[in-house]
Amino acid sequence: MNDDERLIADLLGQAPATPDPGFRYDVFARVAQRGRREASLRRAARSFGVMTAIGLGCGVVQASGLTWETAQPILAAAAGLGVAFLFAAISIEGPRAVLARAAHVRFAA
Amino acid sequence: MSRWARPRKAAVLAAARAGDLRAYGRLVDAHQSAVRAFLRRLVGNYADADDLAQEAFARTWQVLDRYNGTSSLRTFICGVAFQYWRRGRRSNIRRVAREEAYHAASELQGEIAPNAEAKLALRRAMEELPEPQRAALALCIGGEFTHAEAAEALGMPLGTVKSHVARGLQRLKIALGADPGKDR
Repeated sequence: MNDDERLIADLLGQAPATPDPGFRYDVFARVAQRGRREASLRRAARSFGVMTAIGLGCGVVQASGLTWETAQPILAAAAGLGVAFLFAAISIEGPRAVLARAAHVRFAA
Repeated sequence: MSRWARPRKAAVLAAARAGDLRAYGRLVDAHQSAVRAFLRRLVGNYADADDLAQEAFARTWQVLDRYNGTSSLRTFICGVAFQYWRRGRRSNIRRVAREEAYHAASELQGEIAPNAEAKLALRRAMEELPEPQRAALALCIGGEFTHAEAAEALGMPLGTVKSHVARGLQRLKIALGADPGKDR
């Protein structure tokens, strides 16, 4: 590389002389932001799927001519499963994330 | 070999791939200089270039498993950054042009006049270059990347990169007032 090329390179933009820790932290912040965005998209997709399934289920049940009395056992089982799923989801990744935090518990030897 | 011995580099890369953010931080430190220099020359203003570089590093963290090791990691990251820059530029080309002009003017305020004039002339000349030519030149002009690495990062044939760099450099030399035929 000759002097002109060196000059052009420097005038167009110089490389930072040393690695900037601030830059690294900004990258981490962006990584975290992307992670949160992806997680919220996943949650939204799951909520949408569950609500759609419930709506479709209700429609199918009504169309098949089931009455409240005859469909009661099925509905009770579905409600039980729903509550169990909700409880599991909250335990794993809810605001308190009980199971996720359990991984950090250390027992004394 | 640049900064680390090869096995150590491979170990850090493997740790980062396994999800170790601290290891990835070391990769960011090792490659940020080259990636930021490339983007500064490509974009023209430091703030936007660093913003783009951070975005490219964050995206690379997500797609690190796609890196196959045939090229250097910084080449891979520069490829990601180039795609980002091109996509962003196409989606809002008018806004970017307006902001670039504003930033160029505000950054140059207070600099020594001859230097500022040369910078402005070079930036204008850079902005007139076609996108691939501009990117090839931004990669190769500082001597941080070889033509082969630039070809890998930009997804172009080696001969095309060489010709982009030669032609682009000639135009920049003319803009700078240097003799374009010198050192041929």
